[in-house]
Amino acid sequence: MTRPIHSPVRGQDQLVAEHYDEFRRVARGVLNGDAAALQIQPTDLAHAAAIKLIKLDRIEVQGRTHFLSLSARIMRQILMDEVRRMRAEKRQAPPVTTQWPGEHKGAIDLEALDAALTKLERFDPERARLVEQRFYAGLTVEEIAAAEGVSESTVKRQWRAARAWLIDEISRS
Amino acid sequence: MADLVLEREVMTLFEHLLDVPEAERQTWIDAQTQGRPALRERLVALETADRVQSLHTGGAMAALEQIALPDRIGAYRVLERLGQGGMGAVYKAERDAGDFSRTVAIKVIKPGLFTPEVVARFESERQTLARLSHPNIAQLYDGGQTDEGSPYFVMELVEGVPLLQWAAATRRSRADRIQLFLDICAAAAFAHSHLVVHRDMTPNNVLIRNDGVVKLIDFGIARPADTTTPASTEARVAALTHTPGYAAPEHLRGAPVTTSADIYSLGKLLADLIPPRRKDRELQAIIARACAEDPNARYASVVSLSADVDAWRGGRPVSAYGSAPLYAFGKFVSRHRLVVAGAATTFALITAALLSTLLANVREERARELAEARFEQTRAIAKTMMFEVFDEVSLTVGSTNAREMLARTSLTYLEALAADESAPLDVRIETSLGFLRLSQVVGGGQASELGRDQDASALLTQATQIIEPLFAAHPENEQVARAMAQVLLEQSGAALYSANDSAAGRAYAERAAAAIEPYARDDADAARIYAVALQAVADSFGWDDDYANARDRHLQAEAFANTLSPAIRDDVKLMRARAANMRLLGEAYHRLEQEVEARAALDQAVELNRAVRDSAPNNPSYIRNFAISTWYRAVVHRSNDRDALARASIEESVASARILQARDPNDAGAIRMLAISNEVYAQILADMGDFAQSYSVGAEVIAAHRDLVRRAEGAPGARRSLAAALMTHGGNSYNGTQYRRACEAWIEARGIYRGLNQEGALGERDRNTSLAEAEDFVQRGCNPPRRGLGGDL
Repeated sequence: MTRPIHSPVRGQDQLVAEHYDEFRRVARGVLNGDAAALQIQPTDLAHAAAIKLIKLDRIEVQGRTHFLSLSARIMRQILMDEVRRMRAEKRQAPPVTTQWPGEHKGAIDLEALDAALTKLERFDPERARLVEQRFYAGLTVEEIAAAEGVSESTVKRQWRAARAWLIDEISRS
Repeated sequence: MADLVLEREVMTLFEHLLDVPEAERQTWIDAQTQGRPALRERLVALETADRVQSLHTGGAMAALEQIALPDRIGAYRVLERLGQGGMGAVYKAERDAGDFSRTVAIKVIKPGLFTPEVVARFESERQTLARLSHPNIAQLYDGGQTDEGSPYFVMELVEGVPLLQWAAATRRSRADRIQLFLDICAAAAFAHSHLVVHRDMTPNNVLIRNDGVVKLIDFGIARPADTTTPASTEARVAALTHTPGYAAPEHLRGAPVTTSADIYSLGKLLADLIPPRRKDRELQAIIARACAEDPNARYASVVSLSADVDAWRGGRPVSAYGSAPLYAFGKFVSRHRLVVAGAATTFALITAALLSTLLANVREERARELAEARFEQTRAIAKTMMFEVFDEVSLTVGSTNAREMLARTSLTYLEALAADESAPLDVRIETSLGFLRLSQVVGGGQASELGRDQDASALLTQATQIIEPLFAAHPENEQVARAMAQVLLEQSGAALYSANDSAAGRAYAERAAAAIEPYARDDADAARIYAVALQAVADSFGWDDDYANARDRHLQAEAFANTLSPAIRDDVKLMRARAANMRLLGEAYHRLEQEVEARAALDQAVELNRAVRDSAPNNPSYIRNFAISTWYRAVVHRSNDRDALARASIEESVASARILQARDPNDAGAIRMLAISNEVYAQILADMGDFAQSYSVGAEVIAAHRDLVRRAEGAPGARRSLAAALMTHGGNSYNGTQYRRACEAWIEARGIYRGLNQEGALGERDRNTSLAEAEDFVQRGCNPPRRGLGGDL
């Protein structure tokens, strides 16, 4: 780019950064000649894996850990926006649920999870970030351990504690 | 939260606890929490939650909510628990008011299951329900809320067995069963005449007392729709497949429940109670009509349903029979044109008619002599629906609901086909392609239409499971190979664009190319599949940021297209594939900084998309593709300072986006497309010094974002986009020396970012860059509005 970095060109960078993945998906969607919808509709958490699409060099962040937690945070926001929109559009829409990462039984209401997670954040942002990374960026314990530079057993212990806290919180509300 | 400190402490303690051996935990907890009951209570709560979850059970929540038997509920003394389920519990209780005592059933709803609105509705309806006095309806006496806020209902205690148990356990004559069904109908008709709908008429809600009297229970207090639909993955697929249950389809969809939903459930009960024999054509027709997919195609009232059953019992003519479109398939093909031309509502009627055909078909399955012919019908319908009707309906503005219904109905047909594993080869191929098509229609893969990726993935798996063994057994069969290639190509798309697994995507694409290769030059369909497979291989490299390889493979795909005969090469199908390929090639060149080649490739992509669009000017996806390719070209031109070219390209993009938006003013995707094109347009205008026009386009962008915020009911994402657009608009204004206007935009943006930040809805990056920048710009440039940032932005 030959233009100076500030707005309005900055605005364009920002625009592209913000919409890039959306557009990239759409653009790739024309693989078959058909256009995809412009809306992001992650109907399932598995699609949070798409977050990995954002490559490190395309986003101004320092370090991989920071990048991962940022991605998970953005994914969580997008997802909750979508869920709320869906529920607002259709008053009787069933609650959107997900499963505990790595397990195949049980269902957690996404909105309840989000609310509980918001509470967890207030006193323990570190555990909350871990939960975000597992749920919304689809990262495994191993990946998180590598990214955070701590041992897997530490991540596992923290995860188990966070999970117990969330289950307790959700069952209370 | 006052106990933040406590919670933090509990968390740390709990993590230590995990390392303490099971046997020593109690002692450890005692030691750690000595004299601090609150801490102890929290620690034990976490330990309990952890224990429950480590059972890996879906009943985790239920286990946590194990409720003790209450002493009293309202004025009643609780005697025993009769049952417990997802909704809550039912107790046997009695009221001892002096000399008078009454034994009742009390249903206590789990707290939180009903929304306050639903509870309020019960409050207002309770009078109506209490007046519902009929010998076959369990009387509602009273209701209220427990101290914990759980709604409860006091009802007549019915001691008896559920319908199906009764039917299985007793060798009742057909005559008895018919009479019983007519009694159920009489009760339902009575309730309907009092404007009460049951909502949940399952066999378990029909009890037969020991004296043989039938009683409908839970009238009018059935659970609301949002608790009947479990939202697990399987359930979502199940809801789509419509596994025959008792709830009417519109009920599952969350539409308002009317008496028609009860009629549907009654039809299901009838089929259970009196399974139709092969020769019972009339009975089949009655059931099919009661259970029609479309409420409008069902009996208008319970009275007319029971009149038909009564007529059937007496050997008189049945109204449903003869009107059932069992043999009406021949008319379908000519009628479906009407559907396409008409509105989605007409369409629903036709779909309903088709579904009754299917139901009739399925029920008649045992009729060997007819099975073959019906199979052909089903097959023809599935094919016509999925390929012809769907394509045409897609062209109709605002047809999303119609498409949903089509998809659902088509699936019913497909599953009927798939069930027959011994069907001839061509039918198996068709079924696989049917699942593939449906997957594309409902899901994200390559032609995202209804946006339900999860369902799409399940359908794609079904397609694969049918075609893979066939391809293994008949690799030389052309039709099998073509179908295999198509399924593999979709798998490739799903891997690349949904699962972000470029290696898997490449492997699928290579297998697809190999399968179709022998036929690649025979016709446009095969050529398209082959070209797209090559392109998918190329794109998988692009996904890995290996643009050199991506470029070479995209060139290979284009080279292949150029060796085709002109008739095939200029076919719209192939042109669309080539357009996509050229756009991606342009992107690869751009990444490799081969700007001249990038420009040529993007120009070609635009021209191909233009030709495609002109071939069918009303096709929205053609228009959208054109808008995207011109948008992308403009962005690339602009980053290379080719202002005039950027402007020309973006103007085409904006014009196309406007057409899209005019087609369907409620399409948020079109509004966003236009806003995105316009935002780039405003920037290009400002680059070129045309500030006046830039402002007016910018104002339109802002208005569009405001509209999107309103539609999204203030969702943070939409507000963030509005703030970003305001920042850009402010920047354009500032560069045009309109400081006051710039400041207005920036100050508003700052307010949005601040608000989001306070709500905890602002990402870290936005906080550190966007919010910080807004604060900075306002601080330096707006107090008063001036050229405070030192030169152009």
